[in-house]
Amino acid sequence: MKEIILETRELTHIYAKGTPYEKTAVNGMNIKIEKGELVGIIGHTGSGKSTLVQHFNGLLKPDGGQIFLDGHDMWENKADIRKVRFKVGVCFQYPEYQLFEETVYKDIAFGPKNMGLDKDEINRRVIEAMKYVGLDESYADKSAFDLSGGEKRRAAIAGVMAMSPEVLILDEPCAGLDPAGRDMLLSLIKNYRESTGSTVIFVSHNMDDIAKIATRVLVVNDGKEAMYGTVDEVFSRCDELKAMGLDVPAVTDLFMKLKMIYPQLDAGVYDINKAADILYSLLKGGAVRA
Amino acid sequence: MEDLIIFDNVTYRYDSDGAALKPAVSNLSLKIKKGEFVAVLGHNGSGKSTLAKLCNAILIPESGRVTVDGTDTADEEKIYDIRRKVGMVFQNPDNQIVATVVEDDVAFGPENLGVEPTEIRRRVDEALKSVGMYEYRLHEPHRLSGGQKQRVAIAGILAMQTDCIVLDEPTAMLDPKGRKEVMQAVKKLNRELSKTVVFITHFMDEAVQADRVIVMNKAEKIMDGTAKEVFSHPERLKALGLDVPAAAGLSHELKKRGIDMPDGILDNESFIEAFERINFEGNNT
Repeated sequence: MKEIILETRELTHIYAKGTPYEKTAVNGMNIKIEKGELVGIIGHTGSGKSTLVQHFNGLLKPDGGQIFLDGHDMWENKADIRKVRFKVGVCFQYPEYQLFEETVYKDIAFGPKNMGLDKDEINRRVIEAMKYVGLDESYADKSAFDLSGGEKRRAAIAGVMAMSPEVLILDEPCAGLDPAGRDMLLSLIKNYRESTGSTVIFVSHNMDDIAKIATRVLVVNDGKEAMYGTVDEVFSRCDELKAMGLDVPAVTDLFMKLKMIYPQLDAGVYDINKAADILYSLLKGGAVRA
Repeated sequence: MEDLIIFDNVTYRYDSDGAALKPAVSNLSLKIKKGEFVAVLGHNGSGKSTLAKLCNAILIPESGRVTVDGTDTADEEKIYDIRRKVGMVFQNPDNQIVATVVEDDVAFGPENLGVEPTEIRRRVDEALKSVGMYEYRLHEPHRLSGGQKQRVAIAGILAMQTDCIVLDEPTAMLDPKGRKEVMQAVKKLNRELSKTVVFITHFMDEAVQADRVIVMNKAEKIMDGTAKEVFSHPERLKALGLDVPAAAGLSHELKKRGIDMPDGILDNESFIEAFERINFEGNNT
């Protein structure tokens, strides 16, 4: 078995505790995330996934239960929480609004600089991070204002990558991007994880995005882990997902409906080309109805 | 049908310290009819949002003319008349809530128009019922889900009794359920209340539900037709950084493999129907 990088044990978080507005956002959650996985987190608005993500790098403190990073209880020694934040990098929704430096280079260098790294190491990290997000060196001296929306988003993500976190967390990295920008960012994330071997966790409302790149899918519902498994395992439970206000990828949904007529079909299909191949052979083989 | 919004050779450029920027919208001519449901697609930076903001005088054309029901949006004295006719809903639901109770938020618009209190009460109730949020009228808006917040925002526009609603990526930040709720509300106000709808989106499955789809690319309108017409060109759309709905894409891929799928398949139901027919014919020849 692979090493566990993040683990929660009965993790609980309560907002506005002791007031009439008290709300339990995370309710006794138990999950183990293995090193090197690319975990997609899904859950409807208010399911507790953002609260969970904020626990992953110590932005919130548990009201109950524990959270472990690399086998160590994050909150055992309060003074160490800063270290946690260097190990687990979070990139929030619409991170492009957080760019503030004069140039793309300076913005990406901000994180590594705060880590107290020397100049050469900072430089190496910035250049490497720019490569990961597909911005060539000509972007280094540009002002963030001169970039397109998609480029700004990627520059902001590079700022977190440059800190070389063991775990990179991206909250809705593709929200608001057009289909081409979305595909590009997804393949960059996948490639980053493959070349660095680091653990990547991303939150998304888009089931197609999850199916495209995740190695594991975590479904959060009512502050609990409702499912945790491979893309196939999770998306085969279509009815349960829909009952939670979620969905399955668009092609999968179509295949589920076809499966009712052709039970021999495997509905675990997420890619249009593969789907077309399967249906083609189904027809050529003289498809038999149920 | 009568035209409600007319773009006549419109160009718009954002001002950046006098630097000559490329136009965000360039020589755009367009007519939107009363009661029409128009979806606008396009890559990031294609000019979609600029188009939306030109519809109700948030932006004024640099050259050319936009008219709403015959009134020029450049006429400063008519700006309130225009905004009374065309309302906007934006992407981020949290940026457009002004009150601490749902019904107060919906009442904000008509109050500012100086509508009688009893009439405001009637409009607010009616608007909230139209979007399925009446039972939440006494809730706090910030505690609602994204889909609910967007429906409250739509109710706020309805209460102003505008003829047209422009929605700029209203579902971009929502979960699957929220997206469906908003889509349902929008369709209802188009089909049942005959509101003109201009709907900007990156989601192809939402665009197929419109009467008409406009595709923007590099500040220009490059496709304009029914959803069936526009989505029958998947390669062209892909080259523009866009996509097609899954059923249309799959149907196109099967065609490329020599299967005689009919044109104009946009949803699962019509895909399955066509697939069944082909399979039936195949088994009987």
